[in-house]
Amino acid sequence: MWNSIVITNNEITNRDIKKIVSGEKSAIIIKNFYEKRSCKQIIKKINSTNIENDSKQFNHIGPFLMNYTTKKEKYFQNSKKANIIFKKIFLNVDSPINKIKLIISKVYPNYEISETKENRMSYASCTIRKHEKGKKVPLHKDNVTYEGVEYNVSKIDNQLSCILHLQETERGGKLLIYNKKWEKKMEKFREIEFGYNSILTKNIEVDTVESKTGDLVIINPNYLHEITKIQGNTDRITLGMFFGIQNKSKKIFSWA
Amino acid sequence: MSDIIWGNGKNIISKDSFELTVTHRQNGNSEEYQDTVKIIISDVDLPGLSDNKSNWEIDDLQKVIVDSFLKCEISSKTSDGDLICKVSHSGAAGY
Repeated sequence: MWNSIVITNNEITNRDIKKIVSGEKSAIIIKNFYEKRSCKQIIKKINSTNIENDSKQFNHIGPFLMNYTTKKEKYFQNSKKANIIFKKIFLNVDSPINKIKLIISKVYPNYEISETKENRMSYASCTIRKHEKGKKVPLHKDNVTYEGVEYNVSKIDNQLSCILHLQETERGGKLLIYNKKWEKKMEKFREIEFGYNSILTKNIEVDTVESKTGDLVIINPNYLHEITKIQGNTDRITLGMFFGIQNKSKKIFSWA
Repeated sequence: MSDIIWGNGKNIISKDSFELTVTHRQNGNSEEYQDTVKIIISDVDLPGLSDNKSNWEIDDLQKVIVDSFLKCEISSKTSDGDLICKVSHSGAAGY
């Protein structure tokens, strides 16, 4: 059955991860992974600090690699700036980045999870996204092995997406994840600006994950997914990072 | 403003040309474009393909262009009707 694995004790196993990698399950939701109080502190810090967004088009803090597929130099320059900002934002709280890395490293005890660098330049440690009322994210996949081929992190066997919900919505802003893995032949269903035509998910099983503050949601982002329109007055604020698993070298890369 | 068409790479013809299956056309294009057109690449912005044309091999184009969704900004047309374009990977950017 295409549904989520819900964890309430903060402990996931390698078997849980295998289930989302293979497509047996849609997502892992770790309830109350991060303290709500710390989420509020982070939001307060973001709101009280004059932080420049990564682009005029998106309300993001930190660069998102997929927006820089052919602009590596710019990506690493912006990552450097963003990583300094993240250190300031997380100064007086338990670092959510380290907490997420820790839980992933526990699942892969024989793998080395290290700070990911390329030519001595660091990748962005995360992206914080603020989606406002009326905003939705169209049907898409994230696959660094396809669109990020110019980056070393593309040389991986599996990609995981980790999303920490820093602020939940009043209504809407739900993650819909479909039991449909991306294949290159689906590129003929692309939309001009971003994502895919919804014809691809017609009659396909779907799981719905609600936005709840403090929850960590882990998915295999190569399965088609989208975010429904945000309703109500509360923005959907998330912290996202990717992990790439390289089996041969037993290494885990993280980036955003 | 130049005409723009989008579609999926079909066949590689040479080290700098290919056939495109056209799926989308910009509103207000000055010309009509058929469902299959020949593209001659003048400039690229494609992950996995160097900016320097002299480095391109058919195999590289095969990997990067065939089946991919591409944006073609048309700068001119040859006397045979082939389109000379800047080719980029459309719609990769995240939200």
